[in-house]
Amino acid sequence: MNVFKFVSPEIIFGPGTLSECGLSASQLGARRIFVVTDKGVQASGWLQQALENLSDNGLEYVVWKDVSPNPKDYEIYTGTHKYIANGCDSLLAIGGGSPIDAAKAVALLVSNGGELSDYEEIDSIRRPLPPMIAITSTAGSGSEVSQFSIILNAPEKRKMTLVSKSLIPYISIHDPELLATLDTKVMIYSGVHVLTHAIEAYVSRVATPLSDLNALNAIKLVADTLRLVKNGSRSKEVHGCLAMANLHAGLAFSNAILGAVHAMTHQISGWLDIPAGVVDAVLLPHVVEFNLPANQLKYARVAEAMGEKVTSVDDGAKKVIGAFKNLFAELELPDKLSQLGINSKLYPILAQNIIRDVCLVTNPRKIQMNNITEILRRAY
Amino acid sequence: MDKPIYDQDLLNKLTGVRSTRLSHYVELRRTIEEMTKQNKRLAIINQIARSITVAMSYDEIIDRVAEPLKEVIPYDLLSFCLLDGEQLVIKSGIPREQVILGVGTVLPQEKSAPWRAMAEKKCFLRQNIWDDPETYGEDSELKKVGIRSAIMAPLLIKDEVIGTLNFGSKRTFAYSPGEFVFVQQLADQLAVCLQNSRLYGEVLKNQRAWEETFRAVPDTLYTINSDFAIMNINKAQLKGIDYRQLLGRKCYDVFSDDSQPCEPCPARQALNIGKPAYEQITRELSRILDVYAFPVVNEAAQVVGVVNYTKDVTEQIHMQGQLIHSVKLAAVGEMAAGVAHELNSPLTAILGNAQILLRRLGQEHPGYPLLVDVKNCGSRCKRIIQNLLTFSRQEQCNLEEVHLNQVVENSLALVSYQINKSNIKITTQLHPNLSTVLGKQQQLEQVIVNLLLNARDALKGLSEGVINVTTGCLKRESGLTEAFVSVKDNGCGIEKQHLAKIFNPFFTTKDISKGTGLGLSVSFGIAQSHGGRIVVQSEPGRGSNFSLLIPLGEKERAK
Repeated sequence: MNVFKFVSPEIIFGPGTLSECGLSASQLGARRIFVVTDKGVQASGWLQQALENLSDNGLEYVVWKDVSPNPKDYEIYTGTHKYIANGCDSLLAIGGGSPIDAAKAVALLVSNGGELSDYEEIDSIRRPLPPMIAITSTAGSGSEVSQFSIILNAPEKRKMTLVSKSLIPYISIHDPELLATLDTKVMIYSGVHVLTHAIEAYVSRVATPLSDLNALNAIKLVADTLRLVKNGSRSKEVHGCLAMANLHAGLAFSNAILGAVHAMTHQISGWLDIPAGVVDAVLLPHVVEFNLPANQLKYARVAEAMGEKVTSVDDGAKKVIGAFKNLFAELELPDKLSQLGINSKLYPILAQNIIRDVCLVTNPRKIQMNNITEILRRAY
Repeated sequence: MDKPIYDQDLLNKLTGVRSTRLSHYVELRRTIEEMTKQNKRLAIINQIARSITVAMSYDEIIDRVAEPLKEVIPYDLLSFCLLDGEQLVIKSGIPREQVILGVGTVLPQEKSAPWRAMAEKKCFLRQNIWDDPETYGEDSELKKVGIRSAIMAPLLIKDEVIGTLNFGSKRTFAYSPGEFVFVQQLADQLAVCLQNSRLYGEVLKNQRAWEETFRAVPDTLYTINSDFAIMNINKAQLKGIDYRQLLGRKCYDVFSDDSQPCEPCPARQALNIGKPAYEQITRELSRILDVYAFPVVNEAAQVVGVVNYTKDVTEQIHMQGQLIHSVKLAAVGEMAAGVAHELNSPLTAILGNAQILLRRLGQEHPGYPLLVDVKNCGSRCKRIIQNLLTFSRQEQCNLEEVHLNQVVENSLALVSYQINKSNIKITTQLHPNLSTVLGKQQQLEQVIVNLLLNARDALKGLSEGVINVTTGCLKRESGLTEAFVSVKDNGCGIEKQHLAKIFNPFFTTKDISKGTGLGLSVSFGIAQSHGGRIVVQSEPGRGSNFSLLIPLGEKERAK
């Protein structure tokens, strides 16, 4: 059996746990909190609720809500400056992947200094980061439990992946009630992203028994729940399942890392500035098609987890791609890159960036430049 | 299933098997450890700075540094060298008594590591001296004492390098660039101490030179503050009291035994007007002092004290008086000689003719008594002229055996007529067996004449004035026997405040037309030149008694 390690923040899960943020923060020793969020979260009213909770616990805070989707490096520098200028001592991120990734990057710079590009090498952070609490308001990014932070290098239009144990939030709060304010479309995109994370983590070269447990659970939960969402169900159970799927998937990929889909989605969604889930839906069947020979057993189990009747490994492997396509069709998601408005002339540039993405390392099958362009061509 | 060869290291990093979340606890402990070390080092620098005083020698300084430093920076050789002119010389080091690279060693300017630290004005580190491809002049010496690594820090005062502080260790790589900050801080502190010690030495030397100059002045020189308290005085001893005991005491208390400032007081004038002041003051024992007071002004132009310069001019003034007196006497003598010469011829004719007539006329002649009177008066005139000549020719006379009774008789012969004229009675009590003294008769007569005339002046306007002249012998406690002449009157006496000044030249209570103020001062001088003295007892309204006392000659005392 391989040697492995499993990392996770302290996790608080359940309806109404948003109001645990103040106590959590004060227990971490926070006094003046740098709250990172975006305008969407502010509009939903969750931000106000969190801030009141902080005040109730006698904590001061400074709110930074100018984070855009796919946060840009220059935004991080602005945030870092604001954190230092206000004498903050800790962070609270509330939102989807963008505010949480941005908060991680700010925490990194305030304690280690320098520029983000200084830390692109894995595990190159040298000093501990200030305490941080992440509250996820969506399902999909997994950033609230992960050791990753993805920031766009704006001048180069390239996503930088920062990886370190120190980037894992101290406390991660998963309150399913927060999903209630998402519209159906966003919820579907998020769910597809969760599914993709879970599948890639499951088949990852560095998957472990613990991450597999999380990954399979996530796949099962999300596949069922997405259909309910599509059919208009907004029950607490649906939100709870989606939130739980998100937590499982996050833990899975934080430990087992991801694969080619993620590497490609990173770049394409970054380039087009569109939700990752849409791109995932287009790319997943094509990448799995390429990867299938590497681990048929696991793909068969994926098909099974997604509700397919599987009689053998071969049977499951054959059915898995169909399972994706059926689900995405039901969810009325696009199945071609061309539908997303991408110009195929950009492929060489995108491929250049994709090949540098660290997620390719854990892809179950070794993947090279020509494979990538081939997948992109097929998905067009 | 293809099995691509992935970078296992990269995978490990990604899954984090070999990495762990960084902990603030560890970071804090590291920071605390670093700070504790820094604090300890700072404390040591502090301790060193406090324990080194300016008066310490180089060896004492390095002793203070040596022990505490062992706790924070290891060394087998510790030394500092200072620029001595153009040369860099080792001034002190640990271990002591080291011969190689010991105290006094001159470090070659060409290719020397300490010189390099000085030139670059920053720490210079040598990690492995024995195998260093770059060699320095002192390397062979360092090998002899087993030093393999060294750190040298420039001793900087502002931007000027005065030398280096050197640490040597028998281990290689004993020091790291991380030590630069501490070593340089230490060097900076030490540089200040060494510089202070050097400056202190110079100041001390200058101060000593000044103090010697101050003490060498034979006259009394002292400073007082605005409260008349003595701040410094150049006399190591004053009235048998060590000068240190005088400091802080009031000047008038020390010099005049008084409880308030003297009158007049030049120091007070200087304090008040802020300009130099001068007074001539007579203190006890008839000492005449020139007192100069120079104000000491602070930065705010306030007078904060006075430098007093007191010069004893007693001898000088007396000499001045005697000089003037003798010039006068010389003039009088010259004139008297002239007058006597001129009078001698007519007197000779008067006396001769009177004698011829006396012989021719015989006693029966009614004019005979008249002629006798002419002859007697003529003789008397001749005697007076003779005395006058003798008196005025005193500087030419020599020491001789002098009989004081004779002196009295001669003096009375000169002035008794004048005195009797003023209705003053003169009585004499002359010691019948008075021994002679060795002296100048004319000078002693001058003294007695002077005393007699003063007595007469003191009796002026009084009825029943009596002058009593006594001679005699006195045996003093010291065993010395003195012959004396005392002239006592029952006149007006001398006011107490004048008593100390009567021997001062030019001091007189008489009308300017009558007194010169020289008589007593010259008499005093004469008495002194005979080894004697003049003693006064006086009571205002009751009279005065002036005594001239002259010790008996050797011959007489031997008897």
